[in-house]
Amino acid sequence: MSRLRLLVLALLIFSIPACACGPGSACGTTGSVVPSGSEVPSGPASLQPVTVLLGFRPDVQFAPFYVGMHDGYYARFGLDVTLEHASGGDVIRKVADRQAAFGVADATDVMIARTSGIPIRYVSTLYQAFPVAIIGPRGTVPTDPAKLAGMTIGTPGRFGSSWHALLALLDAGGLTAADVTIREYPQFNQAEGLLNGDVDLITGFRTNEPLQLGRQGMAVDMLTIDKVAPLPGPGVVASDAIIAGDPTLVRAFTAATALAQQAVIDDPQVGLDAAAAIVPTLGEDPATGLAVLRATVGLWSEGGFDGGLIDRARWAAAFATMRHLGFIDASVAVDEMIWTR
Amino acid sequence: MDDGSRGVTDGALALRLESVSLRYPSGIEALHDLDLEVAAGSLTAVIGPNGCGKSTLLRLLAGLLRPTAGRVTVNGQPPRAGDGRVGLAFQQPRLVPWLTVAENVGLPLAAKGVLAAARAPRVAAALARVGLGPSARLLPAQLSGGLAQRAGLARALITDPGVLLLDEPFSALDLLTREAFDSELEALLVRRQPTLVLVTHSVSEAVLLADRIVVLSARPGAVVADLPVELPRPRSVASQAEPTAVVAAAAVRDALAISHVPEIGPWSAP
Amino acid sequence: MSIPRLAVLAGSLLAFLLAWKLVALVTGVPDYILPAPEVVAERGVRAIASGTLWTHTSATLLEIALGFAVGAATAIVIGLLLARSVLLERVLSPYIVAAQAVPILALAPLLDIWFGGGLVARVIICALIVFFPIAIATMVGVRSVDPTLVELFDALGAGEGFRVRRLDIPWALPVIFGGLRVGITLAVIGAVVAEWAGASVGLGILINIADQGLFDTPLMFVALVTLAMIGLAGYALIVALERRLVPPQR
Repeated sequence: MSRLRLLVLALLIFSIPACACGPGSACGTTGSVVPSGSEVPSGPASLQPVTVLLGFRPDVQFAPFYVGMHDGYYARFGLDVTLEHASGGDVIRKVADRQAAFGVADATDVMIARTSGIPIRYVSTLYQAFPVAIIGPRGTVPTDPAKLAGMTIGTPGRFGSSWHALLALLDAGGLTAADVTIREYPQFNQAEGLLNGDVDLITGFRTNEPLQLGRQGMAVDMLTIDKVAPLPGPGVVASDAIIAGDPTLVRAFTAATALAQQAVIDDPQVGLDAAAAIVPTLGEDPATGLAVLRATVGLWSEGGFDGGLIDRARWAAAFATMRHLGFIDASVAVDEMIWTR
Repeated sequence: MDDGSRGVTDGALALRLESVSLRYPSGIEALHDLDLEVAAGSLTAVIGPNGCGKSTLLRLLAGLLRPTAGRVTVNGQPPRAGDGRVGLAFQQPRLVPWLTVAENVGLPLAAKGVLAAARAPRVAAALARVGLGPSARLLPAQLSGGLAQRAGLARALITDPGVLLLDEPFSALDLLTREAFDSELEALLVRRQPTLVLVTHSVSEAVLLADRIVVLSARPGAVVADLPVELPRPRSVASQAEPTAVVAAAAVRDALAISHVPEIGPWSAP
Repeated sequence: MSIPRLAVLAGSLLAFLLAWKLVALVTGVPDYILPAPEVVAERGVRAIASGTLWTHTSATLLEIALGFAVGAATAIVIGLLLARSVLLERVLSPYIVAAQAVPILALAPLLDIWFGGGLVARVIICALIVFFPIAIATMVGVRSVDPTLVELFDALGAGEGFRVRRLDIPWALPVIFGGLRVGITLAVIGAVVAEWAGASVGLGILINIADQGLFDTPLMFVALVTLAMIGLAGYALIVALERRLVPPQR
């Protein structure tokens, strides 16, 4: 076991810088070396089983995990990964309760969960850019958040990253939720509301709603949050217990995921193939899948993908914003919410 | 009363069936080419084997069924259910279980939209007529079989019908109650005298009550005998022993034997 | 030997709370998975004091009341029509059964959009869930009317309205009330499903916010317990109404 750990450490130390150097040929090489099963140091029996909880349904946005499994990244790090799905809140609870070792969750949710006493931390960044934006028909989306006043905005509900982003944007314009009309779409079907003319604008994922609306013939503009009020994007979460009890596992998993993610960034087709192999339904509409994945890759690597490292300054700024918005108090510090390898 | 026959009152209506046939949608022919005339104010008993179409006959007269051939009239007009000219008392009293005796008796008026205030005195009178005044507020479940039958009769009489149809009204009662009720009915009819058609299984009951006994054949029903009963009124249970009654009963039984029913009917018990 | 009803109720409630506490203790699960009863109670007191609980409860109560009223009234009318018209039953019942089989959770967001969101849409969603058991109960109840009484009403020349009011409904009432008992509990679910299709306030929204937004599992349990109590109160109300309205039968 100790030999395996050494190997893991060695791989960590060497592969991450190699990949962080940028989307060069070195990373492509790393990706292409991995798949052959014979290079796995130990037999499959000695792999450490790891359960990972993703968002509520399979999606190409989880391509790093599919590639990690399909192309042997996890196996190379001695991990036998099983993927499961749950809603956002349940991901955090189940991971905290060690029903799964890792999960994918929104950074803003981690802040709230941690503050409410759930022993969970954000251990690796998946999205460099915050994926939620305000979306509306072309020419109707203000670039100044202050101009949102009086508009009707559709959003899934008064919770989750969309809500946090919306309030942060409004706040940046000197507004609150009371200055706009909020219409809830708890089934995430706010795009239908926009097409229907029930709302002026919606919150949505930059990778998803614009494409969806475009296919319905609606050209859109977006107001993204990053330049106005930076918030950390979704990432990998783990419980205090796992972090304290098996930090090597956390390092191995985040490193393998980062490597797989880099492979997808380098060639989204790799991600799509792995997704189609592991979740067959994701291969049904490859053109759309690839388009969504390309957009997603753009969010992962906006400003340069750096192997999932956590930007503490961005967290500190977001912490201040979330406090200011009243979502959290100061009882838990930023450094108790994140863990850096 | 003096000559033993019943006088005709103004309200009594004449009945007429001309070549009446009735075939049910199932294909069963209940009545075939039946001719019958019932004089206003008379009291006719219809008797016959099971399934001879006695009940069908009453439903035709009440306007609940229309003949498939021929013509049925009440005072020259085809009967219409609920027009108040014909009262019908069922084999079982068919009281609505959640309504009081008074409400049940008033139902024919309520169905015609008569307001409660206007119904009340007529209900009280109808109840008094059958001796049910003290039971007005009881529910049907609280009544004995005999009292329930009286409530059914009061309901049939409340519209002051020109014709009263009785469908084996006493068959559900034990003999004692039945004979007591027969004399009540007899007394009642002597006072009020609508045209009365009584369907029964009981030869003695028919003899005791009727001016005339019509015997129907087995299905499809047709008239096989039409016998007068010349027994003086008022009659009582004891009247059955009078020679006229005995002769009439024997004649009816003969006619029933001709109408030739293999199974044992209630009339063949003696 | 008969134990007072209230004592039985209090005893069973106590046993339930003890069992709940015991499960929480023995399994040692954290509050964010299964909060202990006293944690929920304490959170409930705070939610009442802050006015949060009433804000959401009053919205849900309104949806339940309107949804149940609209659903039950429509169901009784349709049930009567179905009972009286074989043709109508043949034409409509496949659609009614199919609509019942379609998961309302999937349909609710569409209904919300078709009916422009807002209270109207939520009442319609709630009414739809309530509709089926009451319509079927009404139909079955009216179909079971004693045919000899039907003939009696025919002989009286009673009109349709008189027959429906004085015979069909009173006769079917015990069966209709069976449907209403099921319906009122479904109305609670219907209101929550409707809120999940689109609403700003309501206990369903409180569940979402507590569960997915605030990671406040005890608050979610407060909302669940409140819903359960609304269901119990509604059921008790229907039973009390039934005792008053259902006519004595043989």
